[in-house]
Amino acid sequence: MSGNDSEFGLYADHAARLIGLDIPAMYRDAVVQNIERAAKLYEPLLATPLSDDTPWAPEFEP
Amino acid sequence: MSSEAVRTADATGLAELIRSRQVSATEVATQALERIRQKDPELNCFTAVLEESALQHADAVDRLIAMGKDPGPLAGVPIGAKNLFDVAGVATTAGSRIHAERPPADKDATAVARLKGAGAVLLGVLNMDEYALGFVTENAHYGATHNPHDPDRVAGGSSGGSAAAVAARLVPVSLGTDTNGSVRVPAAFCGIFGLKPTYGRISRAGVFPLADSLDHVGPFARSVRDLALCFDLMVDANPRESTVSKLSQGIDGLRIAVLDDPYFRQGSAESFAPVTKAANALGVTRVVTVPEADKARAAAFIITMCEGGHLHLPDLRTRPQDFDPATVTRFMAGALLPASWYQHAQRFRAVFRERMRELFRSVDVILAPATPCLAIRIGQPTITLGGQEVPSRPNLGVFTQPFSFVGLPIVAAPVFQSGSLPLGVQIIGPAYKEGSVLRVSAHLEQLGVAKAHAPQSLAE
Repeated sequence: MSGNDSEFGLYADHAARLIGLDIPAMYRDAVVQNIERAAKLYEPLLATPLSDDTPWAPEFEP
Repeated sequence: MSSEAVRTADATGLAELIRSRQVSATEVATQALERIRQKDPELNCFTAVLEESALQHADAVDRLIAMGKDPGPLAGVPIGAKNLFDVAGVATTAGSRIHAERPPADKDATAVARLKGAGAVLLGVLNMDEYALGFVTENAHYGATHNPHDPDRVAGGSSGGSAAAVAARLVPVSLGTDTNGSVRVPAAFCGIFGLKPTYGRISRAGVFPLADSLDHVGPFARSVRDLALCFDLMVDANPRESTVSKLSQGIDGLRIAVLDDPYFRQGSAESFAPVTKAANALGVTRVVTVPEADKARAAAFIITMCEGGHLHLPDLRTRPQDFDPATVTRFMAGALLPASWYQHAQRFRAVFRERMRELFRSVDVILAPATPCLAIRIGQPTITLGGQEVPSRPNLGVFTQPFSFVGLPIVAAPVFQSGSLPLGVQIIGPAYKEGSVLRVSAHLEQLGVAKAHAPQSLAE
């Protein structure tokens, strides 16, 4: 559910205010949809527990 | 020397013709510039053509040869570079209006300098999705790049101009970047070879980033030996480590498997055909799976959105109207995602890297589909994935993202035609084993299975 009253819409408005980002009205629905899409993709990843041995710092070597 | 022979030669062959004085670098550059004048208005590969500097450089190559000196293995070979590589004297637009306002670069990106140092002649800079975010090269500021095999269709992206220019025989070699599939998707759609090397192997100095954690530099070409040559030059390989010298080794000793699980079967009916065709040609029967490819793809998506969003946050705050409408809302969303998501995605990267390392203990190379469909029509908003209609722009890289996520070396090879449209296979190896994936690619090329067919729509 997108729009002014959705959970993601409220989150987008609040988070944008906190980082000083003014989302133009013409872009707002698409921004909210993109956050929703990311959240849907992210669900199975979030459900994957990571052991404490998994490094915390975003440092990577292939 | 006929113009046809010059136009159809690969970079290695063309350099040989120039070094042996069968044709001059100036003649080659002049012919290529003329072809760009004829064909590029239809294709829109180039955002800037550097005629004057190209002809000066070609003349310098000819003078070196006349003096009995060797300009290098790319002597007089015309090349192009995606417009996010710094090129001295040219604005690095990164496909944006905002960066077009910046002063021209004062020196070449390292990758560009390496190829020019080997004698290549840079003809121009090439179109892309704005800030490399996308798989279609439909750019609101610079227009769409058209697929040479069907001008109504996309060239793929984000390095679409680079791929289309090679496919259309405007240049034999070009440079692109690949964060989530931006070399492999356009290579597959345009029916040419593309190499995404191991993360970090080719310098990104002077290359504008999309997501620093995932960005790679890679070449496009119409032959495997050209890919290998460009790779060797850009990593500054010593002769004993040269991948070119390994191409003749064939596939003896390489354990090759097909990657086949439901995740890689969610595309259109023809999307898996390149894998089957390559596997049959190689006599491969072994099948492997990659657990959690969907999560790897999701993590790559989150990292790209977050890093891209934060990179552009100052401009998103002050001048959102100057972005491409297709990217601005994705960058804004990325800047708003929770830090905990980003952290979790980065941690999962280490987990998935171990999964792939484990897989590569029992195989040396795996084959996987490159794209979930044929090149889509320009402006096509959705594709079908797993029976569901989803937005096309973020989803054309669904098969490429899991592997760039952990930085593996991959060749996208053109092995299949559906009507006039090509499709590619991903040939994937463990980290730092570019030699293995190039050997398999060369073997498929030698068998006649992998081939960069000339686009029918551009027949003379």
